[in-house]
Amino acid sequence: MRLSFPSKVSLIVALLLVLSIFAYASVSIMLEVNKRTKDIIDEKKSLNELVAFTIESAETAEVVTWYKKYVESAEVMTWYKKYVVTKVAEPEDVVYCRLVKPTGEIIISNIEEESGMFIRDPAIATNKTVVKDEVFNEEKILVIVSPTYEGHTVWLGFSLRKINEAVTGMIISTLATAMVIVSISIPISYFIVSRFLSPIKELTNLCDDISRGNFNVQSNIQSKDEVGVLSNTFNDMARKLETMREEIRRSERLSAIGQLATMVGHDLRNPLTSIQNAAYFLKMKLGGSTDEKVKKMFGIINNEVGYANKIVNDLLDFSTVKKPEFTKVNLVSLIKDALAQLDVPENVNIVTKFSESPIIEADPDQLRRIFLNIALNGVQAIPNGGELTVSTRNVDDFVEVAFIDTGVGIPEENMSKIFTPLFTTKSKGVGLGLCICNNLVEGHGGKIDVISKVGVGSTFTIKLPIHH
Amino acid sequence: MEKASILIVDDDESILETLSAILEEKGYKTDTAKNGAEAIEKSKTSFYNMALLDIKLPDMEGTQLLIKMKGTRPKMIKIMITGYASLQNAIEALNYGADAYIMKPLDPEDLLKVIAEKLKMQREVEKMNQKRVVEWIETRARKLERER
Repeated sequence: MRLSFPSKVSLIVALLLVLSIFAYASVSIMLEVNKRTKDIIDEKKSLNELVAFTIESAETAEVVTWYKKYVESAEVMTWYKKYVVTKVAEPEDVVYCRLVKPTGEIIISNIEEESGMFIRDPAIATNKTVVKDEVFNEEKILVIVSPTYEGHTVWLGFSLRKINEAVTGMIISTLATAMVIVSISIPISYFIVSRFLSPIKELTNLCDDISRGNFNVQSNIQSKDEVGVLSNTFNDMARKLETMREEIRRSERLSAIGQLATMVGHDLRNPLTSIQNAAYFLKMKLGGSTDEKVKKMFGIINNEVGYANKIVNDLLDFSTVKKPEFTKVNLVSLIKDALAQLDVPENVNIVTKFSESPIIEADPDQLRRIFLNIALNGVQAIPNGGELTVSTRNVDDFVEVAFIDTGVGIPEENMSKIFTPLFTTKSKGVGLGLCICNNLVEGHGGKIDVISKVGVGSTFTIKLPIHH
Repeated sequence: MEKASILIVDDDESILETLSAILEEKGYKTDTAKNGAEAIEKSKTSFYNMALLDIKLPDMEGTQLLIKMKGTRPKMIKIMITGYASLQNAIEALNYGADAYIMKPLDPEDLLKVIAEKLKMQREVEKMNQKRVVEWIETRARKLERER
């Protein structure tokens, strides 16, 4: 059988209570028995000594000698002794009272039939009061033997039945107390422990929720004890689980995109190559054609294949994490390289403001791509003409490259999404450019900051460490 | 001058067809192989000035084919076509004995340039070797004549 925690605790408490009650009771009963036995022995001892003295004085005192003159002495003496003995034996616990000769013969006893019988016991020769035990009529009794006149002894036998009865009573009352205490303590301790456990129960329910996938739970337990600490830890854990799940979902999504991208990228590569080759062949064959339209069509095929290739490259770049290969590079000449590859429309003016040309440790290919991509975004954001300013600035161990355009700007609701994959506002584009740039910059231990205002323009600042 | 012959190895039929069309149009003699085994077979039975090898083939890695061809046809120019632009691929190709590597998507213009360059180099080496042989024979002949 499985016991609940409160049941276990209350049973243990009850058991401990019973054990301590019994321990206490047995010690006190023992002490009480010892005390009572001693008291009763003392009492009987005094009584027996008194009887011995009474008989001795009747036998030897002057006054009795005087008294003897008037009474037929032996007869009276016997009667007197008999009277004393019977009187002493009156109380219930006294078994017998005897006057015994030095020979061991019982002269007088409250039990008539005993008279004339002999006792074989060394106590018949005692000259001081002794206490001994014996079995009389199958009952264990105590006997007090006190000396009296001329080697005679007085024997007082009494039972300890009273004490035993008292002990039984005490044991019964102890048991009763124990039962009462147990029957009260079990429900009380059960109730108290249940009360203590109720927050734990609440937390258990919340854990159940979590195991069912509902991470959006918080415990409301407010206390300063260990349970409070547990509750706070639990809340922390739930929050972290929630964010972790978000991250896992995001990375799963990204990895799915990545796998798809790799597949699509690789699969598109061959047909694109064939198209390009076929177009090249046709151009060679028809190169001399004077038809302007044919030339234009070849141009379109070429450009679009180029664009398709760029998408494929972006997809593969995005899905393959390439570690930067660090070498010392001249940042400014890299930017100039990138800008040289840029198709700048006539209505866009490129302005450069370079600080003292810093040499940094970076992957030149990756940096060139980052710069080209960001610059291209800048130019594309200026459809109605304007300026793109590219500047560098050295800040401590970092260098900042800023691309400031006077373009359309990014609406606030899009600001958080611009670095997420597949987000794009352009009609032509898969929305991987900024995401790749961000990955590459992070790979360099840098970061990209964006400030933008609709209608005013955007500033992309790439912060790169000078030393890797 | 005799036409230079080129073996193109790729598992994509369209690429084989378009590439050989371009190369033939440019005056080269071409042959194609769809996998590594076929390429080895053909390079054993016929002579090629050059082989264009795709790095990924259905039956073996391009680099493996490279090693095998290096054994059978050491003088043949071997150009590796790597699928994805990575320094790792390029280094690997060159380490395995490629004379050049070119990345997909191929720009036919670039490819033609590389092919022309490499063939020119091959011809020059050949010429030099021929010249050396001629010179050697001539010196030997003169020597023999003097001795006589």
